[in-house]
Amino acid sequence: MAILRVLSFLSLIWLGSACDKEKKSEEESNSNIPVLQVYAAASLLDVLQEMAPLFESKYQSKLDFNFAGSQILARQITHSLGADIFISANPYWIDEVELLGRMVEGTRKEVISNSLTMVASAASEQNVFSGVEKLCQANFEALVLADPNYVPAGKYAKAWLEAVDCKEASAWELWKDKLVPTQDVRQVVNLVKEKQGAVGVVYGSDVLASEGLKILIQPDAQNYPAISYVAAAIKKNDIVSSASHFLDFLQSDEARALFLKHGFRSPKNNTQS
Amino acid sequence: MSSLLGVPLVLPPTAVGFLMLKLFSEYGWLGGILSAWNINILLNWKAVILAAGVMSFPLVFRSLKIAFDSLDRELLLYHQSLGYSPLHTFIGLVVPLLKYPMFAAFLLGFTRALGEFGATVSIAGNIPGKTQTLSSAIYSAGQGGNDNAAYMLMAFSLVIGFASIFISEILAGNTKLEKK
Repeated sequence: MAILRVLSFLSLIWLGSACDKEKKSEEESNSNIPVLQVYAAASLLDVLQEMAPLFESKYQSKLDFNFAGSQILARQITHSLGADIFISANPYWIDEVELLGRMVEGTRKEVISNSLTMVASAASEQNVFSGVEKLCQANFEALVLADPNYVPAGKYAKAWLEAVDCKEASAWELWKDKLVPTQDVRQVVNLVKEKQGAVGVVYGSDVLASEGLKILIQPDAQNYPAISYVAAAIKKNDIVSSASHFLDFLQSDEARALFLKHGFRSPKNNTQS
Repeated sequence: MSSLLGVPLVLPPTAVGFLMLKLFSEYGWLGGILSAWNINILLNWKAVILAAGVMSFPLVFRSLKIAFDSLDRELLLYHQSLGYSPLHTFIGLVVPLLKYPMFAAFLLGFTRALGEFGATVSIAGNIPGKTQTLSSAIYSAGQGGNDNAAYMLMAFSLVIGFASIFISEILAGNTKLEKK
């Protein structure tokens, strides 16, 4: 009886995967439009969704997105063959993918930059920090960051807090016990909006993308490592030529304008400052 | 009411998590009232228990209901006609009769709670040493490339899982014997 159950379960899985294959081959034969699988950092969600129709109509191709923390995407890419393009919110996870031989060499491109912002819920009683001194005196219950061990937004945020000198210790040392780590930067926004006494550090673009946030302080760009979104083509069995089109498109003036509209910063400005 | 409490069984856990995050939002009405009484739920151990409880309740409830429905009502009436109070009937008669299915129901709830991820991460976060559960610890270890820790935790959950199935099979066998 138990064996029957296991067998029927396995056959269901097999049926499911067979259906999947049929669907795929149908899609391929029905249209010659190439489909690009784009694995992109969670913070790029809004801007890339607005950008997709522009690219799709210009290059007669289709973009499929997979948004998550860059570390999750890097993990998925090194374990599967799905992705054509990877856009990481820092160079680190592209390096990892390259080290494991999954990156198409010579395709790495710096796309855009961003800024850091400390936020709380718009309904929060937390006062705006007028400067580093006020920031050091801050009293809150939870410091919500994308997990600083893995997630780019959290790594940048931790680097900034470590550089904030609060006399005896850095702001990071003062607050690390209050850390609430999340899987990606958008989850920081979700939690900060509902939790009293919580502050979070997110990208400047996230503040534009979400309602109900109050900006507490915007640190100077010199005080944290330059935020760098890096894109690269990923090795796959069937080579999609439009991958390089998309990489070029990401650096085009058209795309740049959209990035800036969504609160991103151009990489040059950041390195100058 | 029973269908409302059964909803977590059919909704994606992340949907339940999102709903609870909005419901217990400390800037919202319910969460606001609670936090006025100094009961803060989000991002601490209370949220872990709440998420696990809400998500596993329907399973426990359904299994218990099937067990209770199988009881002979007349038997209960006979017992009460001897002068026993309903509470006494429950403790003295119902519990001994249904001890195996009841334990199986709680075991089912326990394993469901152990596997809970979506709702827990949404309202309790994944704070090491505070709100991190077995599921979210495996997730963190896996995504951070800490494969050894992930394997260890996975092995641990396998042991618990097998033990639960084993125990529940024995219990199911016992109930069958008693019916004969």
